[in-house]
Amino acid sequence: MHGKMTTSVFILLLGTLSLVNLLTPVRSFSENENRYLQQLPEFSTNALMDGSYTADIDKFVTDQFAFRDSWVGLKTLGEVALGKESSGGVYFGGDGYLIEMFDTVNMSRYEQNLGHVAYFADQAGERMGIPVHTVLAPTAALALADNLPRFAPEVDQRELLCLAEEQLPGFVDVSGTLAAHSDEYIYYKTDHHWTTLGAFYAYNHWREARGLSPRPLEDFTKEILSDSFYGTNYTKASLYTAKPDTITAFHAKGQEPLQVDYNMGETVTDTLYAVEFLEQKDKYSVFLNANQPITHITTGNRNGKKLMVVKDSYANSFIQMAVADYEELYVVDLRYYKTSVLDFMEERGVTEALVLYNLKGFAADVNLYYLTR
Amino acid sequence: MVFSSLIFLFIFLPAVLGLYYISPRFLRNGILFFFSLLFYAWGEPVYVVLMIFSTLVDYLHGWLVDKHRGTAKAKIALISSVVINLTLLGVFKYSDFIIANINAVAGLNIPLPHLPLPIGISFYTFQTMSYTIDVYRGDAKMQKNIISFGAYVALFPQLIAGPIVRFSTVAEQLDHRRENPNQFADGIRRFITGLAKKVLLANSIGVMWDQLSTLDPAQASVLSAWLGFVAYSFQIYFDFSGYSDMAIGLGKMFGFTFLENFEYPYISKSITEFWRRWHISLGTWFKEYVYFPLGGNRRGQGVQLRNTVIVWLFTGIWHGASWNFVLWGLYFCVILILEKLFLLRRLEKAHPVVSHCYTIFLVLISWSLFAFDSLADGMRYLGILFGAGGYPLYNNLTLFTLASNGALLVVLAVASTPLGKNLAGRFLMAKGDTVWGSAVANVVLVFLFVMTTAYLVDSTYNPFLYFRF
Repeated sequence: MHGKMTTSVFILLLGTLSLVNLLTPVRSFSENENRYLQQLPEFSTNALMDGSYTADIDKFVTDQFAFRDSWVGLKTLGEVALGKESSGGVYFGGDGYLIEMFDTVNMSRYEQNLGHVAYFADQAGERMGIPVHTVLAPTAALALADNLPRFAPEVDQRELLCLAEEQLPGFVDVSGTLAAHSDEYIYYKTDHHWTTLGAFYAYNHWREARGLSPRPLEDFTKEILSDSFYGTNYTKASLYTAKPDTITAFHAKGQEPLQVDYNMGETVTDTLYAVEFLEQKDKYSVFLNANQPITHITTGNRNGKKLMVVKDSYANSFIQMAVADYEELYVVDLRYYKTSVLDFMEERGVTEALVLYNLKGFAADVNLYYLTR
Repeated sequence: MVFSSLIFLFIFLPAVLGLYYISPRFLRNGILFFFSLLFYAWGEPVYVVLMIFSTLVDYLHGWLVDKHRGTAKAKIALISSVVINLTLLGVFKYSDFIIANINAVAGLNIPLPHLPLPIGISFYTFQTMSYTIDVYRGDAKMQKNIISFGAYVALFPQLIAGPIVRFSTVAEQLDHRRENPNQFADGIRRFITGLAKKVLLANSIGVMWDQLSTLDPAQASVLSAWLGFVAYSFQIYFDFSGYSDMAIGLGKMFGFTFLENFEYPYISKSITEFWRRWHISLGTWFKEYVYFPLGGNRRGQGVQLRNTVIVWLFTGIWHGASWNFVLWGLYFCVILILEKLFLLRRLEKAHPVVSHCYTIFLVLISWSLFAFDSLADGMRYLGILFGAGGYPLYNNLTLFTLASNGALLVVLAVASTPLGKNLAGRFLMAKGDTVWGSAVANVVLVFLFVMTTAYLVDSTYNPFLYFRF
């Protein structure tokens, strides 16, 4: 009897799935994967002969398989059931945290990058008397180390931070203050960035490094921008049972009116938040409109202080607080901005500088060389 | 095309099964032949002509052997068939190897042709050769129908990755098989098991091997290297035997019975036993068509030694066109000879755990000659296993890899023994005729099939995250 059941079940299963696939429409873009899905390839004898035509059809069938995202999620659940502790470069951490892996570091590049920043700070000090602070934010793997799976083969971030401390006079080590608040919501659970609260604690530590007292939380009005944020780690790990994150904005009181100028007048707006991103998957980009080459922010403060920030995307949620301290801020991303930052600072009369990256990105960055121009 | 792909499972297979079973008997071999050509050409659009050529050549030679049976002409036809097939294999698989060695020895600089290797050529040339040889020896009657013969050569279940089906095994079945529902259900069961072995087990542990075989020196450790070879052992076994299971299962769905290709080799208590359980169809082919014709062990110990060495040199080089494979063959050859001379008796007297560990140890080390493209890399890895290079015994990565893959490794170890098959067999014997017993059995199969599909869909998962960093 089991044989007959096997045959009928198998034929039914195969038949149904084949039919469903034939009937479901072809998708062109996957929100989840943020890429275009393979379409039916064009026939050409060349493509047939070199095998690319059939290979593309194979890819087409797979990319277009009905309920693709659910199948992908099912696979991850299978792996989790077997005790797998990471997927796609992301740990399945405790307490619902998906934590980005940081298991290898290119030491020579890291040291080179420290050297570039040291040179930059040196020049800024000598030529213009501008103090340069550097914040290298540790990733969640350090601050939330208790949530890592056992034996996680992590790089020793503390060691890297010590190295930075030795080489950079203006280095601000925020790992201690983040660790002190590790039971608060300081990193996103599904994304590799810190939350606004995490950035806030780092901001206060930076204020202390500049000889100022930390600001209380009450100095900022909080606004929840989204409570359905699924970030990079969610996508990389494809663990679709993970709960979404909440993105909060911290509005610095009394720094209006704001003028935010992207890329020398390309877009001018009065808010730090690009709310159209809240309708898309990549919600973190609401802060400062994703990654722009150069952003110029003018605030309502009249204290004559101008800050230059050289940064990666971690700074985007940090700037919300920094606007409370300065009259003008220039925010530069070295992936796109390649002219001399030192000259720019001199021309615009910048009074302070901040280099702000996350440690993992900084260690692998290939654009810090441009700081030395 | 490969079995473990969505296009095969949900487009090709339903189509060929459907067409096959609604067609009258006399069309069925033709349908198999046509679909097999399509299956092969899907991955090999140009070299499909090579396979058709090999088919025509051996059909002709078989006819010649039969026509001139008993005369010298038959022998010439036989030799001609073997020569042509070996030349085909030699040119398309071994030309770079041969020319590189000529260059090295004679100090020349002949450019290497770099011909791409046609899929399955090692399998189908051996199958077509077995036809002419079996017909010559009278072990099978010549196949008059060229379509049926073509179906034998190109049969998609075993064309790409074996088992190597000797013509005499299926000669009768080509013309006289009768498909039946029990065999069909058996085939489904076998196919899904093989599919799960390949996609769920082999591919997963393969990821662990990829990670452990490409470690930074800063992350490497002795135990990680051993773990790596354990992973590789499982990967290659479940991949290859999974493929054989799928081939046998598909064969059954069309009424064919192929011989087993793997018999739980990792439970072996000697290398002799190992090679009776691993890649059986290759061993059989060499035994029948090389070892025995050369005299086997019937012409004294000296000749037997020579024959053994020849067979193992061939076995080694069959696996790949480079010297490390030849050494791999020789490695086992030496062990087998030692076992034959005196070691086997010792192993039989020893505790089964001891002989089992002995076997596993020798198999693990053998991968250093098999799993790497370059001999130097293999030897370096082998060195790490025994402490060379000053690597730590283990580190966090070792423990993390073990923790992350521990359950999988246990599953793999158990699945390498007949335990699962025996339990399933007994369960089906006892409860297979009850409704709930059938349901349980089939739920397991459906679960495996669904998980396999999930893994296959995931294979093109490629999220684009650039802008975030």
